[in-house]
Amino acid sequence: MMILRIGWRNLWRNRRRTQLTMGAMIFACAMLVFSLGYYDGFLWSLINNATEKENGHVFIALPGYYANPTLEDACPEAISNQIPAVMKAEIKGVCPRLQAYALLSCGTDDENRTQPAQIVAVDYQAELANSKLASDIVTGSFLTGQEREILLGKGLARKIRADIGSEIIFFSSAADGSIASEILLVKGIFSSGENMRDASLAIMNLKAAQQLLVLEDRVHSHRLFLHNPMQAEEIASRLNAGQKSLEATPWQSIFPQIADILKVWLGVQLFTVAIYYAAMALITFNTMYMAFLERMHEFAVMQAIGLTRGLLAMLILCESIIMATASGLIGTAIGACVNLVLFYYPIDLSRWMESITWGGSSIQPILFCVPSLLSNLLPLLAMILLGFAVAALPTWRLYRLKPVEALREG
Amino acid sequence: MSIVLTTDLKRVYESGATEVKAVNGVSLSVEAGEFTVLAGPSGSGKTTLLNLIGGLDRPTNGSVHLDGELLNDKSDDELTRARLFKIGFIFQAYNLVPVLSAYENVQFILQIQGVPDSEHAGRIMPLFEELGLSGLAQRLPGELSGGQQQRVAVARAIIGRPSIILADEPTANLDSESAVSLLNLMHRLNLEQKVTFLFSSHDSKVIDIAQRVISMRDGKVSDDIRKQQ
Ligand SMILES: Nc1ncnc2c1ncn2[C@@H]1O[C@H](COP(=O)(O)OP(=O)(O)O)[C@@H](O)[C@H]1O
Ligand SMILES: [Mg+2]
Repeated sequence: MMILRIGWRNLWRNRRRTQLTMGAMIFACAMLVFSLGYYDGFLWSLINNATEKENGHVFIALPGYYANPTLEDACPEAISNQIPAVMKAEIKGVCPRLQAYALLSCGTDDENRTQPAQIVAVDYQAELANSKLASDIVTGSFLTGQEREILLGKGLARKIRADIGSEIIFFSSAADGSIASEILLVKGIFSSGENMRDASLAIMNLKAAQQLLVLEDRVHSHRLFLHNPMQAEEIASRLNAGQKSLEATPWQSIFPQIADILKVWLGVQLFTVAIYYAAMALITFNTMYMAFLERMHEFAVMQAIGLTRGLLAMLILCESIIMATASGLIGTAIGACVNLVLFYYPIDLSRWMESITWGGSSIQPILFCVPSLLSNLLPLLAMILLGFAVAALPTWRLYRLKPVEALREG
Repeated sequence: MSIVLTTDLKRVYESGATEVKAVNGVSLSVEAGEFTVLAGPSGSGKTTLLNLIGGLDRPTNGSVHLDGELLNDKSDDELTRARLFKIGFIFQAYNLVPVLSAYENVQFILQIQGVPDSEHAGRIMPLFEELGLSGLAQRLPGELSGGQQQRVAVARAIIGRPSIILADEPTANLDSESAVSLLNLMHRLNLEQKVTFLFSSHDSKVIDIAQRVISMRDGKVSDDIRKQQ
């Protein structure tokens, strides 16, 4: 169609102006795609740091245990049979955990080297496969399944002046009321970036803890790790609907502040789109409108030779949409590439910034993006929509154009 | 039947307190096959009259019939369609679409008229031949001389087989040699293809070629002479 051809060639008529306008549009679009990708990366890290490090996406325990954990409320370790087969596809893995409190002492010469600690006992193979617990090790190594291994948080190790290979006296009460004590060897020291946690947490093997605490074949909780964290609520409710002997709690209930962010996420994204494009529109709209006014005479001629206002409106729309779509596609491609690179090769900013603990998670000083379909499509679609909007005012002017007057002026 | 029939046509411009009666009671008819010039000094109302006949402007008073149809009643879009099918316009400033080639400028009319693409070349090329434009079909207007551009404009005006061609000072931007050659070309189309022309001019060399001369003064027809062929 000739209209399309005219529209296309008009864009190249004032090459410099088109390039500048499109440049601004491409820049805004690329920056927007990148920003949305960065937001998603931020949220993704926030959720992952909260869940994948230790908590898991769904917390399964005896009813009431999550709200009020006690040593006695343990459930059978062989829980995986109870997870319906249909969910297997969505579940990456299950990590059984025991939780207890104990006094840990290092050496016998000085009573200051005794500290109360929270003990988490884990199946080291399940953790290696599913959680990122092992990635926090800063000295020594993670559990290997040998008896008497223990990992200490960095702050805790400092308090009791323990180091790799130090002997630790573990002292606690078992589930049957007897005294549980054992000598353990420090295998590794971890630092999660959360100081409170690192100053009070110790991790040991599940088997050893079950024997020590007289909880053979029993665990306090099972942590489900999912392929997609966003499915946690749905999976938890499906699990709860199937049976009453266990209670599943999704991470959204455990970290309500993060879940609250999720609820407004789309709004945040749309708001960002609005801000970016409003700024861009301020820059480009005037140029585009001037370009239109300059051609009033041409439009009048076309109307005189028989082009209806509807077709003229299409011509304007055509130019605007070609420009918006082309800019949107190029901008999205650039932004998506940046996101992809920062997804695989995040930039570490820890030299300049500290990590922040918030909402039960930590915000790492890292430039990291997650490319998502929405963060790519939203800027593109909004740009095309803007193309329509930009064409609206000239079209309206066109409908009031009196061809004789415009012809006389030319 | 007349192609154009105006009755007591008036067009009054109001600029502030003063009224300008640009066309002040014109009744005339143009018959099929005529080659008519509107002659008269600048400001005598030629452009205004052509705009009224072409449905680009609306009269203050009186009526315009084109091909027997009353233009006064038509909506803006109906007027646009009437211009597309019944009228060919030629402007003083050529007014070709600058981004389209000579060929495309002419083809544009056929496309919006809805003529099938397969017929375009068969209609445009012989006309270009006739107008001496064959070698220039792919050129953009900016790459053509004024006389060449105006010949493309003539092709654009007649390609859609309108009932009448309206041309407002078509030669005013041309040197006298190009002006006379353009007029001769228009006259040949008039004689050979029976295209009806109504154009305005104040150039006596151009006026001499016309078969009928309508003289205008102060918005009125002062004289209307048909020469013997
Ligand atoms: N839009 C307008 N507003 C006011 N006066 C106009 C307008 N257009 C034309 N006129 C006046 O109408 C008269 C006739 O103009 P025009 O039709 O252009 O004459 P011509 O084409 O013969 O030179 C002139 O006096 C001109 O100044
Ligand atoms: Mg004039």
